[in-house]
Amino acid sequence: MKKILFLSASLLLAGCAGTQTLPDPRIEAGQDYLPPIAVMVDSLEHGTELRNYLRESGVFSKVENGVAGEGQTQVMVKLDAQRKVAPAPLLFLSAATLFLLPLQSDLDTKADFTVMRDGKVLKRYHYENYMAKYAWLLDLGIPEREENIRRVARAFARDMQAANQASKPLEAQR
Amino acid sequence: MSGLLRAFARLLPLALLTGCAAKSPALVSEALQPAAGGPVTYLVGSIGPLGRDSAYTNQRILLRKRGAQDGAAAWWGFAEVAHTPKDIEEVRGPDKQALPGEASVFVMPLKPGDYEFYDFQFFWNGYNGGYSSIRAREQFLVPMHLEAGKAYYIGEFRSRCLGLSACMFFHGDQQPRDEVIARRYTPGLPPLQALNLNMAPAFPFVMPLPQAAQPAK
Repeated sequence: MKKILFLSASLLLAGCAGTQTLPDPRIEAGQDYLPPIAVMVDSLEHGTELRNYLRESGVFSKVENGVAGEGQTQVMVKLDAQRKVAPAPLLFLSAATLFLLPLQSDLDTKADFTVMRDGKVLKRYHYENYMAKYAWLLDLGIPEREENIRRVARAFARDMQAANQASKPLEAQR
Repeated sequence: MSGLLRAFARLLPLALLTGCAAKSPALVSEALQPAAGGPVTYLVGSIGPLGRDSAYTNQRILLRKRGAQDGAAAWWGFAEVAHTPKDIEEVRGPDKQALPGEASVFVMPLKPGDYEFYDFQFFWNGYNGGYSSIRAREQFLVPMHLEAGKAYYIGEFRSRCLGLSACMFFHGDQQPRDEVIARRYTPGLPPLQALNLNMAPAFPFVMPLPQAAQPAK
């Protein structure tokens, strides 16, 4: 009985670790900063967060919000981050146990990055990251949700860095 | 039981004394702390409110290792249990009767490498357990390269607030004054060199110190 109680308590206290389908991208350190980019995100909820993660990546010398000037790189982001929550009956059941019963709290993110310069599309990138998490009263899964968006931003920063290192200037698609 | 009480009675004055001692204004996460005997670089500066407005509250400037989440901060605090040293206390501006502003000088030992000054934070503990905080919604990037065996002067960061909604730092140069205090804290500090950072990306959160707020010579 004691063992069961101990195991249940450890499980509840440790929480249920969230998983991400997109591995944490490796960004090469010590490279020169890439030129400034202007980023527009079609998500009011995650736009600032995404730009701040792009700044945190250490890849770009400047990440602006809004429209790029002449000759500057513009990045348009279509970000679709859907929360997948448990069905209502389970939610009520969890509420009845004062949220001690863990609930599904997943985040399914799909992001399309379009890199443009002077109105011409240079390249498109697509990323998907699914975060699976069981959340409860003392572990709402907020860091996992942030990590979900952070990995998408870092994947884009890594690919932009790789494109620059390959010395293949991004050319307009036909 | 009496032994426990005796131990508690002995420890209490010690705990009270250490609790009242000023805390270091430099906070460095474990990943950025230099290893014992390993290469080290120092970042020196000062931080604190320019006067006694809403900026007279806990505040910090935030730095991080480039490309990583590992961070460091220089902070100023005034609460009884968590305050930083009152190294500088002076009245700036035309009103000489005003209550003086304060600042702490920080000496931040770091692992050498590329760092970024990217954000700041002001936080107030209100009445009835209330708490409010402001920081830049859109962060900025002020990069710096710190080499081993060197000490860099980042400048003085003196804050002003308009109520609890708009706060900013004035950035100035007080190297001779701050260096004397920094050497008192870290006697073996290498010769201090100015970083001369371009703070333009941090506008309007960090602006040059106006002439009127320069200290009297």
